[in-house]
This record gives sequence, structure tokens and C-alpha cells, in this order.
Amino acid sequence: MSDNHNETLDPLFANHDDHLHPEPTSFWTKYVFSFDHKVIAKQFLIFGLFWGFIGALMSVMIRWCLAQPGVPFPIIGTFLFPHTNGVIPPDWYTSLFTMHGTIMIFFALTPIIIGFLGNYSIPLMIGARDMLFPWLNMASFWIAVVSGAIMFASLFVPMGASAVGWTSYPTLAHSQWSPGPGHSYWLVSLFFAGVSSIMGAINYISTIVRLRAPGMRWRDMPLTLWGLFLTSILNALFLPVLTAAFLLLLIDREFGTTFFLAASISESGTQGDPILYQHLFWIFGHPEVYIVILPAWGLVSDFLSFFSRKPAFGYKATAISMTAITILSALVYGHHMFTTGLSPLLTSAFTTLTLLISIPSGIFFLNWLGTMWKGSIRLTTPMLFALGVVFTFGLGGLTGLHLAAVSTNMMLHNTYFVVGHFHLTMAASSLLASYAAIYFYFPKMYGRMMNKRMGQVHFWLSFVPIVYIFMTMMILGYAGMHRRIYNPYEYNYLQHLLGLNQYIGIAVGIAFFAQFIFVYNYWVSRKKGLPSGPNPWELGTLEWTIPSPAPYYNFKTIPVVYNGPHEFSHPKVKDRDFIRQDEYIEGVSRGSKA
Amino acid sequence: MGNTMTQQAPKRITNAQLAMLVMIGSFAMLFGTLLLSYLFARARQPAWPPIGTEPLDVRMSTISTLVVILSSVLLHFSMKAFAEAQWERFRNFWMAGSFLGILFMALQAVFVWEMWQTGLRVQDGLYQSVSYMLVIVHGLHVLFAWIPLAWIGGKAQRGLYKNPAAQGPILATWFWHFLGGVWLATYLLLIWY
Repeated sequence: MSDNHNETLDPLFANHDDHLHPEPTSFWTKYVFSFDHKVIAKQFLIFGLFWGFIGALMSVMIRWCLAQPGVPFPIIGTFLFPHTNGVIPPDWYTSLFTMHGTIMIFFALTPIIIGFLGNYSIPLMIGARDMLFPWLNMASFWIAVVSGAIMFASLFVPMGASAVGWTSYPTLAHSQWSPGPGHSYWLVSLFFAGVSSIMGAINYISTIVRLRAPGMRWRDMPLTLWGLFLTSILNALFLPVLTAAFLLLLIDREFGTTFFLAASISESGTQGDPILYQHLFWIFGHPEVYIVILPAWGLVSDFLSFFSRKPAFGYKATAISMTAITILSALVYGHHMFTTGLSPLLTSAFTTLTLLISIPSGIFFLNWLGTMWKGSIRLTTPMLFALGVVFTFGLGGLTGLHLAAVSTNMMLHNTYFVVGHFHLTMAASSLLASYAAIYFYFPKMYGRMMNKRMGQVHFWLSFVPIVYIFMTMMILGYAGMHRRIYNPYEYNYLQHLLGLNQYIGIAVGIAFFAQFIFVYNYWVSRKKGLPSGPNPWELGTLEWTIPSPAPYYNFKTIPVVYNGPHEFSHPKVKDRDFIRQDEYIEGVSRGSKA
Repeated sequence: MGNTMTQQAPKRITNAQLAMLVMIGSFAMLFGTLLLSYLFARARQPAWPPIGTEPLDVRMSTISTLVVILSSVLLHFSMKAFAEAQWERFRNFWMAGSFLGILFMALQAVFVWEMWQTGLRVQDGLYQSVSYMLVIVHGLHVLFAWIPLAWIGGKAQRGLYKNPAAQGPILATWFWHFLGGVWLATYLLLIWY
């Protein structure tokens, strides 16, 4: 483009003013088959919250088994399990932990932290009217719905839903040992989920590269966008690896191929290898955990700056660290496979790389602290949740070191230590970041604030139990309790852990019911919350320069960016402590006014 | 210091082309995973093909490889004509390239049928599983990639292309070239290696 006059932009290359789709008029085009990224974002949010509820209910059932073995599950137990008088049977237990993991990762966290957050914030933060490919965006959502429908259907098929762990390892996942269509439905459903995410990733990458407002350099982007951009690269590159693994497993199940069947157990003496599956799965699986956390890191980096009224400490170092982690994430996957008999050369290489990847995480963690240091902290609800992420990620990240080192991993693999670790780093951190994002963007979505007191109660009743639950799990893991076990108390050396499991159960109950406070707050605040005005958080990023709720076209005129995203407390600006990104101030902003 | 917004060089690829490159990157990872899995799994075998197994038909697969390469070449010429607004030349090369695409798929189907006729069954081992899987998975992607070729061919026949900046044909041909490259790699690794 030659300059910031939009009419000279070639729509093939930039597409600003031309990209205004007409205002939808009918119910279906407004709320169902909408091209508007803001509507699609809300759709992903509802989708994610619905599945999050189902996944959470499954986790409650899992913890009930461990806290109250042999006791019928309350309220819905006798309805679901009439043949055992309401007691959750062992075969259901295996389905529960499988579906809990699958649902939470693919149908709750991904739709919320990427589908909702990405779709809502990217065009607004870059000063665009919509994503670069609105049709692709809508298709991405509806394919996710198809994926969800197939997964939902899998709960009701003969012989039940998938029960082989979310990692779906063969040979247990082969049809001989997992008969019934449940797991095949699971594989097909996740194939569609992958397609949806890849479509979204293509959209996010292209939009961030091409639709940034004039003047917005890469270093003027809020760090949330960095997180979403890097996550999209990982999604685009590594979901196909999962697709390949699932394809091979599916045709092993349905057509009798022998990719993952070891020679010793196959009738005709084939030469497949179940460990090959593990390699393929974890080549995706490790980047996947970074996919889920990168937007959260970006978000927290921004929120700590916003609500400390200070520029993000070490913006460049944070962006570079996140990029380094993105690249390194492809090289550390073997730490999930230390006990599979890999050669010591490989295990020591993976240990080294895994320890290495903790360094950039440490860098931006310290940057978080540096951002807050001597800041003017505003304990808004989004800030509370962002601080929660700092805590849970710090704790969970440190425990990753125990698992990174192959020597300690040997003892801790497949114990509750791993469960505690990944829930703190991935589930708790991403979940708290998701809530932070929802509370933060609620005013822009509805023009009203969510109730602050309810938000605070929701935070503390979620955060404290969550930390308790997963710290206790790490203690359980150290004590030797293995994961995915229906009845640990049949082992003498685990019987004394019943008490800890019961306390976890209480904490799970508190955390589960606390989420209803959030749901109630969201529902009521839509119509009855305090009016927010266009910029309730007093921020300079572009989404806060437009009215709340945001009009369908976002920006009346495409803004021109003169400042960075974290321009707080500038000594030359006296009347307020923030500068808008599109505001030209002589002697403060760079360049000259266009 | 000057204004940071002035006089940026025009970008060489369009928005849609950027998106297609990302998409090709995704599919490259898919096929790369399948091919690397094949190579790693094969490296653990004592003999390849396993003793007593018929090797795959070199002649048929070589012909189909040449056909798909030729179809890419024809589509390339078609796009050169498109860029110069030579619509009839574009259409003719496009139809020829698309037709060779169908021929490729037919030849691959015959190739798979021949595998079946020689008694190759996936249950019998990794060699058989890999052979069927690579050819069929690639072939299905070619089928999906051929649909836009047909659609654009239909539009070309009706003379609906008037603007060399239209993105559809270039995107479809890029993906087609990519799949041709994937087949070439598969052919070399499966038949000759």
C-alpha cells in the first residue's frame, strides 16, 4: 500500500474499507449463519461453555468414584446406572476420564481460548472490520458443531463411548480390544475438530499478517495477538500430524491395516508398531498444550500491563520467548514417552530440550512480575483471573521440571503428579485466562459490565479449590497413586490416600458449583449490568476506541496507528494515564500525523 | 524519521495466496507424517518388500506419475495464458490439464485394483497396509482437488473469466501442483526406494 488512504489499497492485498459485509437483517443471518466475527465468537463461547459443563460434570463423577468408592452417584446416578444402583461402574469410569480429557481440550478450551478469544479480539485489536475470510470463519464454527454432534452421538452408541484415554493408544484402541463404534466415532469427530481448527488457524494467520491497520507494526500488536498468531501456526502445522495418526488408527480399526499392530499379537505376523502411534500422537500432543496456553500467556501479558497501568515489561523479550517456545515445542515431545524404551541418547536429548524450553517461559514469567512491580494495580475481575493464571502457571510450570528430567520422570510417569502438573499449567491457567477474557470483553459484547462482586466470589471459589485440587494431586502422585485407576484402594499402599481424595472431592464440588455463579452473572448482566460506556477499562488498544456494544462494522473509519498497545503513564500526557493507539500526540507518538 | 505509512512495496502474493500457502503447509505436514511414518516403520523391517510379496507394478505407477506431472505442466501453461488474458488458450490448456487429472485418478484406481488382483491384502502386513494407504489417501485428496478444477473449467467454458486478477484458478493450480509433488515423492519412496 502506498499510504494510509484506504481507497488506494488493492483489495487482493490488504482489503480494508472494501471488506464491509452488508448488515444482516434476518434472524438466521444475524444469529445463526452469521459472517460477523463477533457473532461467531459468541457462538464458539456458548459451544465451549456447554461442553465445558459436560466435561466438568464428568470430572465430578470421576472424583466421586475416588472419594466415595461404591457409593451411588447423587441425583443422576440411578438414572444413568440402573444396573449398579447408581454406582459408577469401571467401564464407565474409563469412558469418563477419556471423554473428560477429550471434551475439555477439544470442545471446551480450544473453542473458548482460540475460537471465542481469537475471533472476538483479532479484528478489533488490529483495527479491521472482520476476519480476512468471513465465510471460512463461519464454516469453521459449523464444522466444529458437526464434530461436537458426532462426539455427542458417541456417548449413546452400543458398547458406549470411547474408553481408551484421550491419548487413544493402540493396541487398546484397536477394534479387537475396544469393540463397538464408540472409538471410531471419536476419531471421526476429532478429524472434523481438526479441520475446523485448521480453517480457523489459516484465517487468523492471514488476518493478522494482512489486515493490521495502517501503522500497526508487529511490535505495536497487543501480546494477545502474538499469542493467537503463534498458536495458529502450531495449529496449522501440527493438527495434520494428529489427523495422520488418527487416520492410520481408524483404518487399523475399520479396514484391518496393521500400522500399529505388533508382530507378536497379530494373526499373520505383521510388523506394525504401537509406539509409532505414540510418536505421531505426541508430535502433535506436545504442541497442542502450547496451542492451548499461548493465547493465555499473551492475554495475561496484556492484562497485567493494562491493570498495572504500566507498559508490559520486556515486550520484545516476551514476544521472542513465545516465538522460541513455539519453535521448540516441536522438539520436546519425547518427554511423554520416556518409559517406552527410547534409547538413552533420545531421552537425554528430550530432557535437555524440555529443560531448555522452560527458559523462555521463565523469561516472560519474570516479565509479568516486572510489569506489575511498582504498578498502580487495579484489581478488576479480569486482573484477578490474570493473577490467578500467574500463580497456577508458575506452580504448574515448576512441576514440569520434575517431569522433564528423565530420571524423575521414570517414577512420576502415569501418576497423579502428571495429572496435577498438566491441569495446573494447561487446564487451570487456560481456564482462568478464558474467564479473564470473558469478563474483559463482556462490556464490548453487550455494553454492560458483569457484576464485580459476583466476579470476585466466582474467582476465589474457583481459584482456591483449583489450586488445592491439583497440588493435592501432585502429593498423591508422589505417594505413588497412578492415574486412570478406578479403585486405588484395592492396593494396600494406596489405601491411606482415601482422605486426600475425599478432600479433593469437596474442593471439586465447591469449584463445580461456583461456575454457576459465573453463568448467572453472565446471563443477568447481559440486560441488567451497569452500562459500561465505550472504554470501561480505560485502555488504548483499538477495540476500546469504538462504542460498546461494538457495531457490526466495528470501525467507521479504519484507524491509523501511531502508538504501541501499552502506553500508560506517559510523562507528557497529563490529563489521563493512557494513550490510544490511534491518537497522534505531538512529541509523544512516532512519525507525523497522516 | 518520516512517516512510517508511506510507500511500502507491493506484496508479491495476494491474501488468498497467503492463505493457500498456509493450507499447503498443513497438508504438507499431513503427507509428510504419512510418508515419514512409512519410512520409519519400514526401517525396522528385515526385508522390504517382505519375502514372498509381489512388488508393486512399476509400469502402471510410472505412467500415472507422468500423467499427473503432465497435467501440472498443462495447468501451468494455462495459468500463464490466464495472466496474459489469453482466455481461449487458458481454457484449452485448463481442459487438457483437468482431463489428465481424471486420467491420473483412473490409472490410480487401476493400480489399486491390480494390487487387489495380485492378492495384496492390508491385513497381511505393513507393506500391504502402507501401499494401499498411501495411494488411496493421496487419490482421495486428488479427487477433492479436482472438483475446483472442474468448476473452474465449467466457468472457463462459459467464458466467465475476464479478469487476470481472479484468484480461483491460481489457488486451484497451486494445490494441484502440491498434490502432484506429493505423488512424485510417494512414487519415488514407495516404488523405487
